[in-house]
Amino acid sequence: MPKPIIDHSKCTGCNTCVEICPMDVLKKSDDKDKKIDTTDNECIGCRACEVQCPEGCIKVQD
Amino acid sequence: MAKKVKKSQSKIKKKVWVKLVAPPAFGKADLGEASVEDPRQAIGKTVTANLMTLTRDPKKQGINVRFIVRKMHESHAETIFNRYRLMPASIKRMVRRNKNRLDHSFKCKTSDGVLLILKPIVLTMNKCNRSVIQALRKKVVSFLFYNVGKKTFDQFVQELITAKIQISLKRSLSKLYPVAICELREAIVSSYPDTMKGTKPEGKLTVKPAVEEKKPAVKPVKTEVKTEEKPAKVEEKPAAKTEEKPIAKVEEKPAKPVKKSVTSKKSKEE
Repeated sequence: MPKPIIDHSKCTGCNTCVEICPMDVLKKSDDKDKKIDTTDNECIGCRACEVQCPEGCIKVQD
Repeated sequence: MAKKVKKSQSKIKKKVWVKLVAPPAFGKADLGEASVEDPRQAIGKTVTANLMTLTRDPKKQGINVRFIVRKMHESHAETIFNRYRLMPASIKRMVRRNKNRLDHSFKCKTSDGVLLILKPIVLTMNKCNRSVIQALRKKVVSFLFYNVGKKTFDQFVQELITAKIQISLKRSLSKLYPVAICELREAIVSSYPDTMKGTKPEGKLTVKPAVEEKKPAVKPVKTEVKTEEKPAKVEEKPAAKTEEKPIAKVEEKPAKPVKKSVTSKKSKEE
């Protein structure tokens, strides 16, 4: 199963990945450390978040 | 009486023809003309054109492309790509029985930030299970998200017209299940980024006088040409007739009477 792995130190919380994800795998979190979090939805591994992220802090692992 | 005359007078503005030009991805082809009172009103107008006329490829006669006027220049109006659509008549011809049709619709962004609505259509070779269709649908989404997200808007449009995206999508899908047809049924631009949006020019525009000047300039040229050519033809014709006719008559006339004389002699002898 593919899964997005977020580098929270680089993430600015711009929400582009949340908007672009077709399966709603990513969501905005209220935690101070994690600006974006993953949900239980199934990731199809389209890598849209990886390509679109302006900081390049998301990597999808197969 | 004088008052009534004043009321009947209405202010009618003269309309101007504005030339619409396709974006550079379509070779800056002529899309037509729009008649507008003020050239600023042309901004935001839409024009649809058949892709066959733009690319001169008869294979693409089933595709319509829509453009929106974005900028005004001195001599023409610049347009931007807005919609790519396969006509329903061509889709109807693709779909056959004992085959599965797979439709989908989703939004995705290019690297420029242009939000697109993509509607792919896939037709399988044979009837297949629902699990296969589900896998195909996932693959379509993942492929298009990854490939469209990497490219700029201009690159995407270029590949859409040349059908490179469709071909590469078909190749990737055929690894899962043999696919007969794989097309993008519709690609609509949902929103442009602020840098691409059309801006209305401020102050006086130079388009209006430029178009008005052209019309009177064309007419006198035509009249001049006619007046110059006619006398020249009149002079040439009599000269040609006088030179050619006598030579032809002189050559032909002696030939005919010889034959007649021969026949007449023979008849007399008989």
